[in-house]
Amino acid sequence: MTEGAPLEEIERVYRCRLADFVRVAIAITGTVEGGREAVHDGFVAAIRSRHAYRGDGPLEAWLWQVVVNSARKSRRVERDHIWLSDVEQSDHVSNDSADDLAVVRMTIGRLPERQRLVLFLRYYADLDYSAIGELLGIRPGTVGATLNAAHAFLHSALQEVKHP
Amino acid sequence: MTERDPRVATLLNNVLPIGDEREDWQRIVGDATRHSEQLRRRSLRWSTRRLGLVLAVTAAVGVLSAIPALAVENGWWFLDNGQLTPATPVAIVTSGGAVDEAWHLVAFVSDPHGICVGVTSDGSKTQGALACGMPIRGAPGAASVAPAKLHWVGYGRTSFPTSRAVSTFVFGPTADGVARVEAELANGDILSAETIAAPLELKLSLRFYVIELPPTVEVRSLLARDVAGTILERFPIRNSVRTP
Repeated sequence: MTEGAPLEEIERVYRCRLADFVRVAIAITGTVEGGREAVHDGFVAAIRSRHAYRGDGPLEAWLWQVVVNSARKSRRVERDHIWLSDVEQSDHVSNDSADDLAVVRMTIGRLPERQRLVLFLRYYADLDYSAIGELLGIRPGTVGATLNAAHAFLHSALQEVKHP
Repeated sequence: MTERDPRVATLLNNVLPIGDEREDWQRIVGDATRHSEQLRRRSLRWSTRRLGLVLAVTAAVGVLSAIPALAVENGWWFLDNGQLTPATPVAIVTSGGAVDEAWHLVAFVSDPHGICVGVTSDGSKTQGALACGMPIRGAPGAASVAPAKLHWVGYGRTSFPTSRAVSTFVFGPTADGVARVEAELANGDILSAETIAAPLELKLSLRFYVIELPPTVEVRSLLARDVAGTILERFPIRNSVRTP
């Protein structure tokens, strides 16, 4: 079993998956700046505590834990922000689409925290059930059930928008 | 099986498109290094202070069950009874409390008892506690202890009166991988503290924690968590003074 994570390995994961880390952290914190800071703070914490990595799981999974933890802490501090209100939309989004996106944001913002986390980790980080379960301390079966519940909630809420 | 719903995937991609993020690895490494240096400097600054303690009483311990109370002026009360020979300077890890009633978390390595951690008070000059020889992972002497008997977190406890109330602390060393210690209280509340790196002069790969408790509430257990929040150890406290 390994004791400690080599700095160069942490750097490799950082460079390979930075966009995914930031995307998940933005989704968790609800703001672009909050997400970027959470990733920065998470990796600072990971470097400082890299001797704590025990090698009983992939390094990347451990780094995901650290970053998600950092983002969740940041989220607790910044509860007043409206979810993703500071994300810039691309120019080709029409007014109607922009309205739809606002509804989607609001809907996702209303999901329970665990459902949101599972959703972000599955879709933005592309982690499988086992990795998500490890990260959140729940069984893979619970991850699947949570994801299904999130899907059902989103479908139902968005159906109501289209057919009020 | 890991299902992805294409419609949900599209929605999520639309609300938060993947962006071009600028790498900033050097700043991350710089901040990580700077933070460690700040902790070391603070420890060194505190270690130059001298305490004038008069009387002290020992509470929790590893191999030592108790250190008799002694009246010692202008020195460390716990060094004057001859039971402990310091192998390192006595370092102040952190301090708190009011100016005239400051408390200090102190640590040193003793011969032959290994790591010693204590809380002492400037104010009451009547009580404090020192715990030695806790079998912590990475502590001096840990190599001679069976791995199953090594702990991530150690436990000491002390109370002493201040002008306003009785202050009660739980404190101890932790293994290097512990980022946070949480105290689960008998009333269901949880108090927590970030661990503090060992002062440089101790040359230890250990960390320390101290948590001030509310009056009359006991600790039920201690949780040692790593930086990711993973519980490394849940240490039950069966009474107010317990050896790991």
